[in-house]
Amino acid sequence: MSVADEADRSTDDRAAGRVPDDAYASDPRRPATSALTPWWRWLFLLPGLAAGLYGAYGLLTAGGRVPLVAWGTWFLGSALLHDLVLAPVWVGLGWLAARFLPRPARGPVVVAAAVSGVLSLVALPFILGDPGDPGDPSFLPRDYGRNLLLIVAAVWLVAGLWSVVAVHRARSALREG
Amino acid sequence: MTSALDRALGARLPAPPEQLRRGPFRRGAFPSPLHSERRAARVGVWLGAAFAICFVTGLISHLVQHPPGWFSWPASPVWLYRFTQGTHVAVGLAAIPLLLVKLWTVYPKLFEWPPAGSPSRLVSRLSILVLVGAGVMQLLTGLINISQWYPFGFFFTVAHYWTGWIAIGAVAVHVGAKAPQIRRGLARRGSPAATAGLSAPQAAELTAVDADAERNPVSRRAFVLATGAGVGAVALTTWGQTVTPLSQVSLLAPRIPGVGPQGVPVNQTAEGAGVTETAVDPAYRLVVDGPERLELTLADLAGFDQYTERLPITCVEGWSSDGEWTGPRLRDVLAAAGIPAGTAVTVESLQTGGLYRVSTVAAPHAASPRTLLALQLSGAPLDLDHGYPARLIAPNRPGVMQTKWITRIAPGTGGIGA
Repeated sequence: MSVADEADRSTDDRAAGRVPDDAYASDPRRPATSALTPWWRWLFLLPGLAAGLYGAYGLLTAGGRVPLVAWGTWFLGSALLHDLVLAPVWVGLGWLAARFLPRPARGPVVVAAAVSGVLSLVALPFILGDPGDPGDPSFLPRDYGRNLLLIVAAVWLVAGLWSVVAVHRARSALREG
Repeated sequence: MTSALDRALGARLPAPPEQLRRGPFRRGAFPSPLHSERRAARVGVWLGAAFAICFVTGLISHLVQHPPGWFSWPASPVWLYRFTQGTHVAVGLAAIPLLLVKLWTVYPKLFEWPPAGSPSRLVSRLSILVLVGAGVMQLLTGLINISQWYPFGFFFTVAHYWTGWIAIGAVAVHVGAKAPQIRRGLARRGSPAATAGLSAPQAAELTAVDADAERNPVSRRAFVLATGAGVGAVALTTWGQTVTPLSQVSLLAPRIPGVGPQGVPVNQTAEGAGVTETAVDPAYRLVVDGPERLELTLADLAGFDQYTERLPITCVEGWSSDGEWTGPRLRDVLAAAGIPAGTAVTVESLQTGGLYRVSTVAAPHAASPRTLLALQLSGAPLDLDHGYPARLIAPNRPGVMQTKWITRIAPGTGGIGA
């Protein structure tokens, strides 16, 4: 059972059967009263709830230093940035890779895409953000755009060589096999 | 807790029309067996550890700058704050790839159909929104903050602190809520614990998925390599701002130890602080408001016994850089003004505004022989940007509390560190 199967569980017939004689019940684990869960969960749940409530209380009482609209924008915006931008882009790239790349090349390409993607995200504020105090030569002393390009180029060069070798090996194994 | 509650939470909610089920919402849109409990749990351990480390080190930094009565931060070891705050930022940066990979493992749940099949799923997804919102926000705003870009509309430090509580709370609740999955995911593959709580057919499916992960075109090995390489690449390219031996490798670090006026980076310049005239004014005096009030010129300060200490400037933004500072000991100057040893004092800067104009030197630092009123850096008079004519430099203290262009010292507490 992968996470994908689990996500489909509301339509899993085995699930409905778990709560006898209740045609409307769909959750197999009986969310409120399941006994299948380890006791130590409470060591995380209760302090976790307390910490979360403390944080919420702190934000609500922070007054003008943290306007809640601005905070909420960044809070929701951060989740949506992932859910509506990063995840769909990565899913789309994965679809392209599965469609156009030979199987043995997919591993190297995924590694290269992950490394160059995450480095780009980390470097982006240094490249696009506020250049800071122009009188301070110690802040952002490098050429970040150029450095990022160089690193990403090196990563893809290695991944390209690795892919070619992997594809070549797979083909010769197929011929010999 | 009744089965009636179970029925209510587990009741089926109407699904959106099937025609809308497209793209990643399609059945079978995520065929990779790496979208598994096992991968999610195992990346989750690393990510959870990263959040725990960031929370503890962040809490330390908060307590140092806003100490409650029960808290005391020592003056030694010299490197302690450098270690905790460097770790805070370094681990936070490394958590960016971990968080993205962790979220990738559960993409099928992000794109599940129907989006909320039951009230219990709706509640669960809203709680996940809190987890993801707080987690991504902490890493994103933290990254933007170390690039000294402040587009937030709120005070970063205050929001980062309180959101940190929400984030660590949400992580803990998530661990508790997903305890059965985590227990299975962390158990050795093939052991009975790896399928605990599952029916026989479900257990067989789960075992098959984990077996497939070994043979998938993008195999478990490639997944682990991609995650490790992502974390390693971020570490190598940024940690050099804290870990000096990496400084030449860290091509994307926002700071380089040793690069700046007199070989030490600067966060606030004299220009930015508006002290370019007052700092070089011959009328400059350092007022020490003790029982015996002193008004010291730069020459008077140079007349005290001079000491040289090698101490780091450690920025809350994570970078740090060693300097050789020379000047009188703070405690000698306090003694000359009749202030008893071990008294907490406030130091004030010439700068006219800013959150960090005034800082408190707590008793351990005020008494430390290593705390100097530095007049020189690397054997030359302080650069204006480093706080000429005199600055505070104390061991084991955040850079924002190493007050520059210092003009007044008085017993008592105030400003940052009070």
